[in-house]
Amino acid sequence: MDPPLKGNRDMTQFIEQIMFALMLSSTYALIAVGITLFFGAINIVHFSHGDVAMLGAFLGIIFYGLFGFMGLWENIPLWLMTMVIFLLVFIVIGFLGTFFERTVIKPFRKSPLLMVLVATIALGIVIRESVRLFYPQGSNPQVFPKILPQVNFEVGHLILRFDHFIILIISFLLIFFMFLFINKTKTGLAIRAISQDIEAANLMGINSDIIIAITFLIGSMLAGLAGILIGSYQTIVRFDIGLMGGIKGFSAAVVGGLGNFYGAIVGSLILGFIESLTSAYIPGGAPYKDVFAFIIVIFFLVFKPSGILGRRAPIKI
Amino acid sequence: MKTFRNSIVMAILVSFGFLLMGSPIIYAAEKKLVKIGFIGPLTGPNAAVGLGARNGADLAIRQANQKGDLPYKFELVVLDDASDPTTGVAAATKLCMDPLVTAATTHFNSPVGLATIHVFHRYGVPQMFWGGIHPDITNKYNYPVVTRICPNTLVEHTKLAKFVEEKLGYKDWSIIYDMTSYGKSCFDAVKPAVTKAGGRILSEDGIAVGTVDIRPILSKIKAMKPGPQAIYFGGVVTEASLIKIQMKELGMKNLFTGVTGLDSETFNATAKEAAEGALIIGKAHIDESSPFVKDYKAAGYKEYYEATGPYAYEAVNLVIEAIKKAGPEDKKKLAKTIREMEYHGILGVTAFDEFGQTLSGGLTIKVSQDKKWVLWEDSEYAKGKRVIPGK
Repeated sequence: MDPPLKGNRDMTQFIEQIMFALMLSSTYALIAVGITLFFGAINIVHFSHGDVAMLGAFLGIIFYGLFGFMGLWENIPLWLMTMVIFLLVFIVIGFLGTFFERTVIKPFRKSPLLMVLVATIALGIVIRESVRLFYPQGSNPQVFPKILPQVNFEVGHLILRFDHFIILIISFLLIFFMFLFINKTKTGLAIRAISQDIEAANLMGINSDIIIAITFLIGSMLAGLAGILIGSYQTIVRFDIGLMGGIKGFSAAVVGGLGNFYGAIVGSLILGFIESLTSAYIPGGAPYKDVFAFIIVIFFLVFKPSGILGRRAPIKI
Repeated sequence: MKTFRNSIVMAILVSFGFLLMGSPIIYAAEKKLVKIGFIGPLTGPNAAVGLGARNGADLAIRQANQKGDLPYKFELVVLDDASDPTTGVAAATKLCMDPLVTAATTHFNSPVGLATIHVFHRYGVPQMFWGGIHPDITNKYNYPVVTRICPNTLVEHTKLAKFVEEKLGYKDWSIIYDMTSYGKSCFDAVKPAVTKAGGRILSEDGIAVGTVDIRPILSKIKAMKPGPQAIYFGGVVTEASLIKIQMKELGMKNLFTGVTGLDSETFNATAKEAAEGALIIGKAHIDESSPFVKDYKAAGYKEYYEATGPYAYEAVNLVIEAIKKAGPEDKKKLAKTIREMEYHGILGVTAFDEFGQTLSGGLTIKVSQDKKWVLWEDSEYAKGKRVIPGK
């Protein structure tokens, strides 16, 4: 039989559902912010951004395994190892992202937008299939290591997990620092200058090549960390998680207003809450959660293409 | 000198060759040739399981000829369906046109089987399925020539519902299924099975393919009052392990259950500690030390016998047993004999219902214990050392 009830079951469920919606939103936001950054800086939609995040998650698993192989887990505390893994993924993914920009995106800078679009979609396929083929048993789901502390708080029926809070807090901090970087630093100013008028910025002495590379370095670092956080939350990762993640992130950015930082966050919250609450509170609604989410996206594309907080109408793609 | 020696060697080789060739000719002259057809996917995406089945069937034929207690010499006619209905129908027609083919053992893929049953029905050739799980193969037209020795989804779910409701005493179920055709067919089968055994379904939720966050649905189930004792998932391993992991996260102590789609060690490897206590209907358990495996290895087949090998082996043996009783000439009589048979083989007892569907098919009940699927009978849960979730 049930244990004696502490608090209301419906209330417990409601709090849980809000928590899940927030978690889902934060995973979307981490990707949406990157997409919005690239769009804001050089007017491209980076459709393989989700796959870069997936790559980050797999790198996390690889580094974890590598440390285990070297026998480091016994001697060094968990938090330090976690930090090291974060840092390594940060660096490797950052440079990989810049490499992708140099090889796949830069050659099309003067070409029609459609070509970059196709190039980034193709890049996504290359990343996905490479992981599937070269990672041992890459088609199977991979267990993501528990690199965050596994502590629960129990309040009646409600179980709150410490690692979920950590994920939320890190996501928030990442986005916050990103915001500071774009708005308060000189490099951020240069990125914004390029996004407004690349030729004028060049004339003002901004080396647009380097600034764009930095943009990709930062955006990809963010994606790498997003991958680790998403992996920690979902507990397993598969080679194709980046596909849906990328589309959802892009959709969130569109709903909020492509190119707008707050917009990406607002859009992610809207998508995350719609999906979670549809599954939870509409009877038989679970299979339709994506349908509802994307109806909202279509609605915005048709009636308000600039999104909720968009500062201008995006070029039609 | 050298040429002389060579010619002697040649002469010996040739006479030896005649000897080899001659013996079966003499042998066959005494016995009537009976052909048994085999159609399966030998190329394409399911080639591995198709080849395993082919070898299983071949082993049965070899053993029957070796035993030689019947006045027939059996021959296996192997054709490829490449998992494609059109190719399958062409192969089936070719088999049926051969008057020496008395019966056929067929198909891994249900769509191929759904196309070829009409061919076998038209020509009146007994067709026995060793693969293909779609209920319609046997149940929709109920052709007298068609039988199946592997379980379909209805049989699997009936066994599951019976066990959970009668043995464990759990009546209340929550159903989750994925929106693939497999998940849907599980969903269609689990509902009647649960209610027929006297249970209640408290909730039904479908999840889109690729969903990784099932927590909203689980949280809803957790909040239900009265809650279900059993949570059933119709689908395959990835989502199943996610559900089990997330159930543990939410502190849910319901029984997690499913059918053969979950019978893979990947489930345990992915869900790790969270897998403990999951209960499923598993595929046939073929012991490594069983005579079938020993004979299979001794026969020196290149390919592994897969899950299908034992079923194809059993199917051919069953057909041979029926030929022993009814003879190979009258195919109508043979089909009738097959349906009325009760055969004891490596899958246990095979007997057919009014649709020609086996009611057992070697299904097992497995429980996840220490990150491994263990047969229920051998598990610590059955012995009372551990308590199955959901109590």
